[in-house]
Amino acid sequence: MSESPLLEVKNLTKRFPIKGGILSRTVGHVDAVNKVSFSINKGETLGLVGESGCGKSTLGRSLLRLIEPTSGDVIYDGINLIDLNGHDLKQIRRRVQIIFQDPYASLNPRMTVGNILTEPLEIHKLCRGPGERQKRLEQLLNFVKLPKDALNKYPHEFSGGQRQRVCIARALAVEPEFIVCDEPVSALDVSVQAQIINLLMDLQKELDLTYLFIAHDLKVVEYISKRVAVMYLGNIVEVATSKELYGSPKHPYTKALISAIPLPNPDAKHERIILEGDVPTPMNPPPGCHFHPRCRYVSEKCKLNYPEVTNQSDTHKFRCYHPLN
Amino acid sequence: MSEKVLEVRNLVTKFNTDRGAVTAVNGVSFDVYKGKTIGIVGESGSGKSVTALSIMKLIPTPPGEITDGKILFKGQDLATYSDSQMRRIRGNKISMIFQEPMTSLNPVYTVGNQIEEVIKLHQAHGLSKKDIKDKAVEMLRLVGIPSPEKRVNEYPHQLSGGMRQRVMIGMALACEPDILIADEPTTALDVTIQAQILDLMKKLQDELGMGIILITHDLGVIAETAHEVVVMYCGKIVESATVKTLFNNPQHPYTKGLLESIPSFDSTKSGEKGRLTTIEGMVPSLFNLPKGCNFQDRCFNVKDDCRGIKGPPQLEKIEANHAVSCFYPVGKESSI
Repeated sequence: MSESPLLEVKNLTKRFPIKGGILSRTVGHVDAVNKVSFSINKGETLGLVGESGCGKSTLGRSLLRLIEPTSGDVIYDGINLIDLNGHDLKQIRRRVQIIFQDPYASLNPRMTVGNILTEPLEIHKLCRGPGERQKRLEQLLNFVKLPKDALNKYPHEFSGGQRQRVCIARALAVEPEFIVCDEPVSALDVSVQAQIINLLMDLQKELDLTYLFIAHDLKVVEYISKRVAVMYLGNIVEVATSKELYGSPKHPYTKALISAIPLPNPDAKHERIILEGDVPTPMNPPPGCHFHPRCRYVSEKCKLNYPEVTNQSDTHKFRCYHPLN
Repeated sequence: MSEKVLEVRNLVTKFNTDRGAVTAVNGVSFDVYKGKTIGIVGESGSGKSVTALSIMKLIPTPPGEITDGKILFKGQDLATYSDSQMRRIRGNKISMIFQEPMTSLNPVYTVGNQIEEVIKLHQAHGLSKKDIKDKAVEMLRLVGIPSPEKRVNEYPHQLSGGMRQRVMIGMALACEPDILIADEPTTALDVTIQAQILDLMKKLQDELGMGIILITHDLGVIAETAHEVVVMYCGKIVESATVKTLFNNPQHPYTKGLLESIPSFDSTKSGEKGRLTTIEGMVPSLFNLPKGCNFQDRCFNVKDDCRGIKGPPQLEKIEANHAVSCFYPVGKESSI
């Protein structure tokens, strides 16, 4: 890990107010993302997993300032995105892009694919003249393996997998270096999911892209990521290379998540850890380690303080008082 | 083999639409046994949910219609049953749980009310109000809801997704049905909650002995819970087998492709994997199915006769408990 990271996130926090009562006064707050720090190197894929409501999507959006973070720093290639405004922010958005989960909701139904792909080019003034633009559009479709006649079609004429390809092409239009993929395959059927994962991996090689890959499916994340971070209730509880994380998880939550994956092998006899209870609400998280009410190794200490980060190795960090062997 | 509770024979369900008639379920046959789980797996639009709704006779007519086939429940053909006869079966002998527990529960009644309703409709003879309420609490306890006496008076929005699905299961099992149809019961849930619900369904099956029809697109869920599996594609069964046979020795190129397109989960190889095997192309539109085999355009093993000369392939037994609908099944030896 000699290279300096492309993206460095330090103590990023997003606090949402909770409004209540007739006057809609703020009656409390939710720390959807709570002092999260991590880094991503150039050309790598960091997977981010967690259950619904753990803050993974909020984290992904706060990075790009699609949601304004409350505090913390996001340092991208030496520039702190938190300090940017107006023109500078627009410039940086050329370099960082996002792909959303739902390809049905993230494409304007009244625009043709050609218009959808032209918009980012125009906003960033990337193509001079119609000839150059046409060439660029065709190149983009070629990247995502859609036929040329797609340009004149509307989103409803495509299947889910094809729409996700359009979303990917739109993100690629501005030649970004870094893409946040927010559950890009969760809405797709398994055979189509594999096509999109392959496409993302091919594009990464071809265009030297860096991904933050957010998903709840640990199988998919394991497949595509070099390193994986696990989130629980606004905190990253463990981060490691995929090999370390899936091979020897330290945090009891990570272990339980991995064991809960249904394996497509009827002969597999693996020990299934079934976690009791639900994910607690982030509005009123349990004191101490947020995981303690569901943890089988819980002790008194866990109920008082949130464990600090322990460095197992250069690449493997976790937050737990009772790490597994 | 245990007792057969349901035989579906050559079921055909059609929908008449503005663009013409489509056959959503085309000649589907399978059996459900007491205490066993049969999994129906397929991608969106393969007809798995319509099959389930047809068994319950919940297909809206028009536009839908069961045009052919028999649904034999303990020897009686449900396909010929009237609405009022079906009402005595639904929720009593055959129950169903759906994917999205929030939309299948009534938001303006307490969960207790909703479970009591099922009991009142089907088993109320000689039960007092208090007995019925006790039974509802009992059901909530059975499905593992903590402090059921309190929860019984709560509304669906006060419960989490996993809890709601538990309530749905409690409601479905209140009359101890012979068959439980579970249509993607865990798709909307997180993986740790999914594990809880699947575990619960298994436990209740052992206790109550119902046959389960489990519909899902997740082959992992199938591998862990089903005894037998049918794979559907474009309204037809392309392969059916016991779960071990299907996963260890898939014969249809589609089944094989599906199994290979799941990201394999091998922690010793994490982070150093190649490309996933994919099934190229996409599911053809039901309005415009190819002649011959429906899978021809996506098949890696396609030959000229698959394109219609021999007609569509029929589901044929290749050994006991293993049938495949393909002219050129792929054996294990040809696997990559």
